[in-house]
Amino acid sequence: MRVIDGHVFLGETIYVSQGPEDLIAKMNQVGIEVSVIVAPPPGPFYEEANKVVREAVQRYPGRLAALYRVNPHLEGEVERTREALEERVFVGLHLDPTNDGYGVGSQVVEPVIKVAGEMGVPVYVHSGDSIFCPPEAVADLASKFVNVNFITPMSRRAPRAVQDRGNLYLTTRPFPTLAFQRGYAENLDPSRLIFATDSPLGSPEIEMRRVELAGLDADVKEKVLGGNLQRIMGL
Amino acid sequence: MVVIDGHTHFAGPGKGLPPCSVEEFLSVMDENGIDAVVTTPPYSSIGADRTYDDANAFLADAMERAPDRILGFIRVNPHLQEHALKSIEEGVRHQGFRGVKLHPRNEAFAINSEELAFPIAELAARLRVPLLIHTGEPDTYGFAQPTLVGGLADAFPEVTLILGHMGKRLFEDAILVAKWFENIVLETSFRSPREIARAVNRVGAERVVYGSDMPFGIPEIEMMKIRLCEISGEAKEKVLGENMARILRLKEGES
Repeated sequence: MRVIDGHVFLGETIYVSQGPEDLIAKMNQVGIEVSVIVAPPPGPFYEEANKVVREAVQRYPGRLAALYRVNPHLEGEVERTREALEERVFVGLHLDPTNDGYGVGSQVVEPVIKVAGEMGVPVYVHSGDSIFCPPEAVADLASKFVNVNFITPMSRRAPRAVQDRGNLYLTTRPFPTLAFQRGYAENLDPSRLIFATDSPLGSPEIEMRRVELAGLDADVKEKVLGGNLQRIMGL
Repeated sequence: MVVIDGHTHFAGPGKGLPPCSVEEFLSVMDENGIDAVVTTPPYSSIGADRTYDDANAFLADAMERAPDRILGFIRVNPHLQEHALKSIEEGVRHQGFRGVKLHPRNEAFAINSEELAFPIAELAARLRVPLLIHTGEPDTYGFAQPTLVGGLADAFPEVTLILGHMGKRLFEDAILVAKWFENIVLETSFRSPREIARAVNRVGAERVVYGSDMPFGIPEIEMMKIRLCEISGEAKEKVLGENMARILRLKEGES
């Protein structure tokens, strides 16, 4: 079964430190075939950090895929985003309203989303931990841009917010093991869950074990661990 | 090495929250190599039992059946103050409860309230038992924010205050308030190995205790986090059980 980690930080900042060699070693240790990497916060400028990510993908083709980290506040960011996606190295965009200080619903976001729509790539939108990005606001964005697939992290209100939005996916850290074990996972659509560790903030070993303990059916496990992401990112 | 799970809940039968019996609880502990658990009623076990009398009585019975392994913390509703104080006094003196659990969010009171929280801390000081306090990100009124515990810690330096969940997403605030007040201890449930290591490095391994929040957390996963922590083996032993044994004075054989 193919395992894809849908959200991993790669780079060196005050928050995280993870290089490509360390990451590949961890992936090998727990059986992760592909990691979708992104430059870590803080910003506000991500050109250099995106460059580090780009180089890592080129160094480990087939093992690493990347999201282009965007700060839509910055002048010229829409053009930079388009150019980056035209390289065909990045397979999606990454927005972090909490760290870069804008509301998900603000007008600065939409031009970037339109580029994603034109280029046919998904957009990861961080949510659930600040007034800038309630998961419901990401759901609104998904309703407005129905031709774009969105991914947002698991949080208390996120499962309800993503319901009825077929183009909105949830990453799983922490994996909702107890919900599956105890049979109250009815609001978690397996076709729209994406396994993710947030490594190095989260632990791949722990998240993989959480999945094992959940006792998922084989078809559900296949979708969550990689099938869903493979479909929307073309990995 | 002694392993004590410093934060669990025991609802009993018919509540949909396993383990449902003493036997099942002991079996889960054995499977995970846990010698003893600190346990307290979960919020969902009480229903109309706003005094927690039924839930505490269930725990008292469980403790009688496994006195060395099930270490109950009595749960009270501070709004019913007279009843709460009487329950604590009776529970600690005659039923074997080892501490008191307070849940500021579910009981809707501020943990630094002189009217509601201080009398309980004063009694805890007299009875020489710790308080286990749910802490976390702001609810509507911020009742359970970790820095608020500072008010209690300052007024009652002789009482050990255990911050459940280490403040959840406010774990940096939990670590800060633990640095300010030496009688604050941080409990690890739901925190990542990185966050636990940060707590140990900032406040010392002596003031961090392992907890799973079972049945809302998974003991195996929460113990994995301690194992994966980048701290010394000696520090892990303290976190996993030695600290709680010290706090509860288990080695002295005192109750």
